[in-house]
Amino acid sequence: MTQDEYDRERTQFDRLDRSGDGVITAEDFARTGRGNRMQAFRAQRTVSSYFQFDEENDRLPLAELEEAFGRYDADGDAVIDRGEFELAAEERCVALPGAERMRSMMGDADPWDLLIAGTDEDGDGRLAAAELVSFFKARDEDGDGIWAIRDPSAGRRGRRRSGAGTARPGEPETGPVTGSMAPDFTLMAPHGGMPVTLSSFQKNKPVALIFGSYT
Amino acid sequence: MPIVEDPISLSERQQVARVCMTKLALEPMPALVDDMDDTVNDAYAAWPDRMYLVGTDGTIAYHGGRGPFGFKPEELNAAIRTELNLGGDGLSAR
Repeated sequence: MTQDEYDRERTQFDRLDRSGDGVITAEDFARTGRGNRMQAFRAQRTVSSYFQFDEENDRLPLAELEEAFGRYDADGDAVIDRGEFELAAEERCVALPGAERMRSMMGDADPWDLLIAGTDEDGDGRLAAAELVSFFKARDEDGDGIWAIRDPSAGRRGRRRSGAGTARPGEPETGPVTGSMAPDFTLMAPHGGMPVTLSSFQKNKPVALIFGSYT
Repeated sequence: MPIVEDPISLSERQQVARVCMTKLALEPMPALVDDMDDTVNDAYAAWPDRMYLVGTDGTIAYHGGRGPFGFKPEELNAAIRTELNLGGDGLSAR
């Protein structure tokens, strides 16, 4: 695809044309390894939020996922389309703490789009049971049939992040624990201005740190 | 539908953060943006999301689990109340 065929702004084109040869090809998309991992992570987070009905459980076994799929698949054809998903999700939303939390974290990102982007192997815009199972297994790094917080991540190139709630190999499962000194830091605010240092911020009050990601 | 692309510079990351703060109605909560080496994220094992409470003595008063399963605002709420010596669960009065 050349710049002429791509009708967005120049900046968007330049960002996608990672090889810088003036043409966007599949090769350019393949280079965005981190983007792909983010896409898979978002899809996994969406699955975790919408296909797990037991909030107290920090694990999602494949069997539970398949059962959840069945609840969405209104016509029983082993394929979920947007309509089935949204209908069932809306009906169940009050009872789905994960979904509520996800909406609050993901803003207006459409859950169905996030789901499909990471799972739709045949590109038909629908989620087949086989595609969901395949996605589950691909993200089930220790192969025990369960998504859990402690799934070790398989070797990935470069610096990167693994699925929801997992750490890289060698990376500690937790950050600083209760009682230890909070690592100090100095960072910029979104609007710019003076950098902010934790140790000199609100010295007379406890400080809550809420880490999140919007991409 | 805006799936946000990964920022490739600090200023881009700041721009994404501004969008996030607006879209999720988080203002006027103070927000900060990690450097492009993700230094603070790594120090706090924060990704994809996690919460902490830092006490006035600079030590960790509460460390939360890794999201999404471990991300539990009610735990942070309880920790804040403990740290401020408030009673009750705080859920009835907002």
